[in-house]
Amino acid sequence: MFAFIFKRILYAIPIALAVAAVCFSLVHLAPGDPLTAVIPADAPAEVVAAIKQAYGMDRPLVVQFGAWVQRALQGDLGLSVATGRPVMGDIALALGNTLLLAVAAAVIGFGGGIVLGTLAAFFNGRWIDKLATAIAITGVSVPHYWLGLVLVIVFSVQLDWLPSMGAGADGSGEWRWDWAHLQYLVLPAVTMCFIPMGIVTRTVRATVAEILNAEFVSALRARGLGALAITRHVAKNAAPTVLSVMGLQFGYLLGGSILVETVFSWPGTGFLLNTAIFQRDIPLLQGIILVLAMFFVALNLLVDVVQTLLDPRIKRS
Amino acid sequence: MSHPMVEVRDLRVTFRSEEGPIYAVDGVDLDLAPGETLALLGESGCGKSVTMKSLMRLHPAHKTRIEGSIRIAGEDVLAMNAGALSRLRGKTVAMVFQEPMLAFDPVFTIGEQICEAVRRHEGCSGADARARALEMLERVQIPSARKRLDAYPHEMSGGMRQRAMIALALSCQPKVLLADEPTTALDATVQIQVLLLLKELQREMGMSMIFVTHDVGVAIEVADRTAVMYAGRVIEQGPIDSVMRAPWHPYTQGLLAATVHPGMDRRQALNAIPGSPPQLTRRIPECAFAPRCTLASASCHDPLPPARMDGDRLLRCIQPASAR
Repeated sequence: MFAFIFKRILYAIPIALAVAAVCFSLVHLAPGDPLTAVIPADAPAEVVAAIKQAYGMDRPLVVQFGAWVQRALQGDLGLSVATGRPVMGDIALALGNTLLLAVAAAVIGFGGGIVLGTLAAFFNGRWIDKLATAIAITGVSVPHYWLGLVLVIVFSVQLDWLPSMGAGADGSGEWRWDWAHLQYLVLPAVTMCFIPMGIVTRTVRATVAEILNAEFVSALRARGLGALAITRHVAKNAAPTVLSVMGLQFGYLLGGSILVETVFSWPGTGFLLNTAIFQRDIPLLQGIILVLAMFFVALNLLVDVVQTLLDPRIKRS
Repeated sequence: MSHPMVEVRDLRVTFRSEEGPIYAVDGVDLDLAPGETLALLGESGCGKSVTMKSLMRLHPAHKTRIEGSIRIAGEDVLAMNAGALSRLRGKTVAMVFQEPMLAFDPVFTIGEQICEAVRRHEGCSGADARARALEMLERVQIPSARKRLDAYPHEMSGGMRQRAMIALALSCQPKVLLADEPTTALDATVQIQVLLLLKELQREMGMSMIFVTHDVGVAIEVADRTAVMYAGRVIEQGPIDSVMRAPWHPYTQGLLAATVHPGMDRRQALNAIPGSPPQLTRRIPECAFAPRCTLASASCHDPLPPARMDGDRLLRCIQPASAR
């Protein structure tokens, strides 16, 4: 088992490198010079050259990439062009907020999706199933930035129940586990939970319905097992498929929250990414994309390992 | 005959489907004495498996209507609540399925699945359940049984899996074993081994057994009595030897004429019954075999009267014995 996990980690290394290369080159493929944002248009050529040299941007791209990866491995993602602060510190702070939001949205979305999907599968074809399917399709189809705005209008503007912006009253970005802070989490988390909830509902419904139709379930009944014991069997059979979808969805929650974080001014990676794009802050941009991409790779690795633990039919060699 | 272990009277099973009702079983009477083996014989789709599953009420309740009466070990199965039903299943009546690969949960080991059933019905500790599971695997002659306890279903051969299925079914010492074509999915050489094993275990444990098959040879091998089914009805029932020697119903005669049996001339052609079985989407009050029957007369298309008892044999055909 440990050999298998070790092997999977080894396989992840080339994937991570390739992802890093894509992150790095994407930024350089985009039109415009990375330094135009900070250098005045009429700056003398020597000054431009000096700045380029200071940031190492005069060297060939391959060398720049090598140096970037090497430093990144040591936790140094360079200095922000806009603020001059180390990129890593800003990202770490934002990442904590994004993780908090993603976990909250995942708990609501995955929990709701599992319950709705299981109900739909058990009551296949009846009104509960139709209701759950309708909720799932609506959840997947509604644009979440629009949903966020509607929630703000209803719950912040009209009812004045919940705050609509930021992550804390004092604006310091420092998180505490009390209602004064938690209330800021409610609207963005609810906004973000709908897509994963819809997708998880549909996955759970399809997977569980298929398992319930399998002959072994009727064989389990023939052994005199009760509903609880049969649910345990169904859950273990459904888990690998559902987990892989949830892993992917969690990745999207981490990386795909730009619009929602912007709508709610939530100080996470998406918000930071938005800032970096508008300020053409290349080191920051690269850093965020790299960190988010690494999370994706790590999540996939985790899902792979858990799937193998749960399903004995997946070969471990 | 002593008090019957299984007593089925006028069993009717109707499935609701999108296209309307399906009359899968339409009037089945069965009796099974303690220690007796009954072969339920018939072609695919005649209602053999549906009858078996009905005995344990395994069909989805909201899509199925079961009428008539089913008594197992003196208890009224159709009147049972969920708790009583789950105590009956696996403990009083156990089932061996046709395809063990599909009947085992693929993500639990054989040992876990046997232990689970034992603990459910005997309420014993995990260690005791495991000891019982091991004993059962040894009893069905699985080589290196201790190792096989921790094997997953996909790690075993077809024959091994069916032996494990039998071990699971017998682990709580049921009074009645329902074997639904247990050898159909197996190689011919493995078939006979599993068959002999089942017979031997049945004798040792003193169980009654209903053995569903479409294979006349297998039926002769295992059964004391046979019930022949056609289009959802039992059309002939009796001791297997006398039914095989002298079938009364034209369908049974046709079935035997279409089967290779010992002592027949090698050059003799097999006689297939012309036509095919009827659709069960309408209730058929008359003899369902009449359209294919060479002896059918006008009165065969009138509603079919109840079965006639004649000594130890039962027949559902209105033609006089002289015509048959």
